[in-house]
Amino acid sequence: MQLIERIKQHTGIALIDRQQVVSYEQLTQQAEQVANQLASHQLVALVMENSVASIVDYLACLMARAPMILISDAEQLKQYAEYQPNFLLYNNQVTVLAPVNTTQQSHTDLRLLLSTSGSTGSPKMVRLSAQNLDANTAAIVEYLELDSTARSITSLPLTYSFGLSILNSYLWVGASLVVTETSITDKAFWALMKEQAVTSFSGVPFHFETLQRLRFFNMSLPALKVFTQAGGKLRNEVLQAFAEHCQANQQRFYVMYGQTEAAPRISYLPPDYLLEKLGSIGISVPRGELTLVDENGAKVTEPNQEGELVYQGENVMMGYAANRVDLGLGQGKSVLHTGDLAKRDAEGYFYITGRKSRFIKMQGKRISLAHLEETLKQRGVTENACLGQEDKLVIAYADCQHQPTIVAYLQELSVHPAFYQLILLDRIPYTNSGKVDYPLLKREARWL
Amino acid sequence: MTNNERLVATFATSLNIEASQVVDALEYNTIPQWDSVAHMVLVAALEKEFDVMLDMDDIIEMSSVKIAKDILAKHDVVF
Repeated sequence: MQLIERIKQHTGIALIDRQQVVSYEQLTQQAEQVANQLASHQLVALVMENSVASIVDYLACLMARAPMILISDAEQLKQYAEYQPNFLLYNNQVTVLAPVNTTQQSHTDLRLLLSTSGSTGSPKMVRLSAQNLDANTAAIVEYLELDSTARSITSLPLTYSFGLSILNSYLWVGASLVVTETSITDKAFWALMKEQAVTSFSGVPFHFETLQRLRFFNMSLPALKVFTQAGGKLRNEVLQAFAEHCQANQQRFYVMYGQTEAAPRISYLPPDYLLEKLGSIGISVPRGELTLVDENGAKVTEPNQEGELVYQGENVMMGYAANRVDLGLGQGKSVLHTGDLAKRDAEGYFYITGRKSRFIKMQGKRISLAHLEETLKQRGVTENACLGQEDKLVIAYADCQHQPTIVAYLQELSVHPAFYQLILLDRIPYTNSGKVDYPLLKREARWL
Repeated sequence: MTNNERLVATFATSLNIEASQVVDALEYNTIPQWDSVAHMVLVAALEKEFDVMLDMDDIIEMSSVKIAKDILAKHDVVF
């Protein structure tokens, strides 16, 4: 894998946390030690925290060619029983969970399994290969113009594809990363930003909304040069404020778009076009191709016509997996139907206009509304309908006794009450064709 | 309602916890309900309830119920 080969050749600082500075040589050495305890093509469940030890473990799995499932705590292990992980890896400690299995080897190229949605109990995973990850990392490094002087900070969880892509791209070029579990609402986070002279900050819309509320524009962070934003649409007013701030301070702001299925980056808006193309997701990443197709699968060539956004590139996942056997499958077609509807302007810039499939983004995490409805039904909320948009979820239900079940489930998904509304109806409305009448519900909800 | 009651009610609603849990010693990031997302919801709710405008230092220093009171006191809210 190119990423690993490059890391082995770099010198200088790789990681910094509260206690230590880790050089590329030390990082490689530590990862090799852990890698020696793993076995190639045998599945690892890796407890991934924003810590140096977790990054060592992650690189160890890549070195050992042992595919991994990233989990945020060992408790989550039971959700992935279908995959029969062989090892549990946490804090450089390897625990054998199941004997090494030579009959059910995973595909040689497989490196990473990532969950597709924020919903728990959905064991469907995205299969990413060494080639997928390398291709995407190389593209990101190119359009962000990253070099070894860059320094970022783990403002996003490393279990999240966006957070992980920052780690990969910084290590690719021999740059450094400040590793912290703290978040932007912690004093310690800002102390690290200043003391460690962080040059780049990445976030989902929530982060930028929060920065604006934190009167971020008054802060003195002379080292900060670059912002990257993905994980959903940031409101144009907020974008505008950042664009103006960046212009005045010689900073670059990248709006980006992606999906876990593309490892994850698909498009970016060159920062010089931020104001001119406000609200656009930009153009394809280098060596990828973005097109629009209509309902019949035909290419949309006219500008400003809506179609489903389709991406093609080497970073498109191998495919999905539902169980251990699927890990033996190879690379599928490198074409990704995103499920997002978009338009392209006359100059080739794309704008998301809506969603074909019923997914919403909640704090950057994708939630399938159909999966939500299904899970609630399984838990006894027989009559329910879910709808929503970015950071707004509405659940309609028809029996007041079901309210605690719904609230408990949303808590499991870490959806804050400020982002959802429950509406109690006499019954869930259906159209004449027997489908849930979502337009009527939307009017009922008023909030959307 | 006293200012203390208003504060407790705002915390309870914003963090989605019982009013009885809102005690001076309750700290940010020690319960799952008070994470960074809830923190910003809380800040907005406190600003509205007490008609104050908190600055960045206030927001990132507000790491417990007790400190929230101290910060609001700086903005002339008497407890």
